[in-house]
Parts: sequence; C-alpha cells; structure tokens
Amino acid sequence: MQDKHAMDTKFADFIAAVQASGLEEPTSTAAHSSAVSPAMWDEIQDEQSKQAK
Amino acid sequence: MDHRFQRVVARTHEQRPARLRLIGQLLGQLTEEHLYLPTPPSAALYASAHQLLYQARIAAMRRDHDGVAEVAGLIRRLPELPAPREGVEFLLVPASACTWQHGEQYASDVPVLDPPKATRSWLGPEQSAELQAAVDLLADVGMLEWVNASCGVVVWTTRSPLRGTSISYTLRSLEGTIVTDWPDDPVRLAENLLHEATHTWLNEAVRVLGESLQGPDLFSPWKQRMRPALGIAHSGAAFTNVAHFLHRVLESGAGSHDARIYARRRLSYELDQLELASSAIREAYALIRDSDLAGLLTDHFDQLHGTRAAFAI
Repeated sequence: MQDKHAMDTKFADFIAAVQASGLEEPTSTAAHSSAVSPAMWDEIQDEQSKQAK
Repeated sequence: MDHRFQRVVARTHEQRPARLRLIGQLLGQLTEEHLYLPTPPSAALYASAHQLLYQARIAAMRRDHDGVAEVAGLIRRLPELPAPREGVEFLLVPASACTWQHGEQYASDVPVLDPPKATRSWLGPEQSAELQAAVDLLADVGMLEWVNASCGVVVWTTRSPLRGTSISYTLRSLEGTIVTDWPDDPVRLAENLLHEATHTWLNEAVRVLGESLQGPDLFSPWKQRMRPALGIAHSGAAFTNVAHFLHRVLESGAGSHDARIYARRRLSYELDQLELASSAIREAYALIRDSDLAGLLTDHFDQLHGTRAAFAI
C-alpha cells in the first residue's frame, strides 16, 4: 500500500511540475485536409480539352 | 531567405537546449532515466522529447505504471535515433514506428516515435524517390528552409491518391512533429510538408517570442466560423506559404500534368480564401509585437498580390 501511495504521490508531483514548468501549452490540433473534388477535376479537364482543340 | 526569417529561427533554436534540459528534468523525476542531450540537439530529438513528455503526462494522469515504464524504455533508446537523410533535418517515419496516444486533450491521435523502429529500412525505392522529389521541389522553389527550420519528425499514416483528400495535422504541444498521409504525388506531398511545417514553425516562434495575439475573434473562411487571432495567423501563414509554393511550381514548369492541374485549381481556391480572409489576417498580424515576425508574415502575405494576375486565375 505504501508503494502505491508513493507512486501516486510521484504521479501527482510530476503532473504538478509539468503544469508549473510552462511546458504544458494550451492544447489544440491544427488539422488540415486538402481536396479537389472529382467534379472539379472533371470541370478542369473539360476546360483543358476545349482549350486543346 | 529573408533575414527576418533567419533571425526568428535563430532565436527559436537558441532556446532548444534549455527547453530540452527542462523536459529531461521532468522526465527524470518520473522515470529516473536521463534524457540523451547532445549539443546541439537534433531536430528529431527535440521533437521526440516533446512526444515523450506528452506520453509521460498521460501515463501519470492514468496512474499507469506500465505506461511510465514504456516511456523510460523510449528514453533509453533515444540515442538510437538515426541521422536524417541528406538535405533535410527531419526523420520521416511510418505510423508503425510510433506508439499512439489517445489523449483526451486532442481530437487527433498523438504519435510517440520508438527510436529503433525509425532506423529500419522501411522506405521502398518508389517512396524514397517520391520523398526526394518532394524535397527537391521545395528546395528548387526556395521553401525547404521552412520545413528544415521546424520539423524533427514527420509521421506518415496512409497513402492517398493525387485526386483524393489528403489529411495532415500538427499539435501545438508537440513542437517539431507533423502527421500527414502520403499523397501519391511529390507536389501534394511537398504541399503537406510545407503547410504543417509552417504551423509547427509558428507555434515555436510565437511561444519563444512571447506573443499572445490577444484580440477579438475573427472570421475564418476556411473553418467558416469565428476563431481566435492566433488561429487566423496560423491559417494566414500556412495558406500563404502554400500559395507561394503552388505559384512557384506553376511558374517553374515542375510537376506532372495532373499535379499541375491540381496546383492551378488549388492555387485559385486558396487565393480566393486568402482574399476573403485578408482583413482578418492583417488584423491578426497587427497583434504580433515582434517586428521580425510581424514584418515577415505581412510582407509574405502582401507578396501574393499579382499572383492571380500572373496566372490569369
């Protein structure tokens, strides 16, 4: 039980130390998806073939 | 490269050893392992240390003894990180070379690189050639420095076709780490690397320069909602870089036939979005106090004028 208590204290101390260090930045994910829809591809290629004629 | 860019990069890199020492002290407190700290630290080590701190924090919050032991093992293996390939500072590794954390903090999964797995020869000749082509393309158009300035670990998830949707992301706490799929064309692969590198570069710069961009929320045409000024500055910087890149690709005549069709359409779309966001981007940049960072971003944005006319988009 004592070991468990010691480990719990260690975990809590670590979390507090990380918070105090300033290393824990505000969280965010900058997700990005890039797509050109199939319809746009068809449109672009139609334009290109017209230009080529 | 712009001297203001060089000065900002120098300032961010100067603080890396001190930040790594702090991460090392914290990790040592939990795991009793010493973080490997060569001088100067490699970009991959810098990125990996942030990943380990994240994993350690998740393990501590869950009171997960096995998780802490895993972090300790990864710290011991850090000296096994391989050197990056010639011309780049980052290690490009598959998702299978990482353990993945499903932290409650993020919408996206968080990778933690296992160093020995990064040393395996996993890149086939075809992918190796695609990566080299993407890197060469970035170098040819003068934009590889954006990637090299900030990226330490690039994790690729799945292959995606040129005509499909490509997904990539960065996490603010994980400086130097990018997650991206692998578009089936060097132009789109380079675009993803540059886009995400701009985010991780700006995250580090904003933190090191002590910027807070305090101001009212602004409208983002990309997200179609109001966002904090920092988010607008990120979108402005990343998409401005992408627009410059696509413009220079078209100008140089590089890329396959399909990639050039893609580049033209995407450039047109992004120029429209940047125009819609123009006042919001300027407002966000005006909140940046550091003259190098504010001047660099503003001038880079202003230099897009004329791009539309040049390509009759």
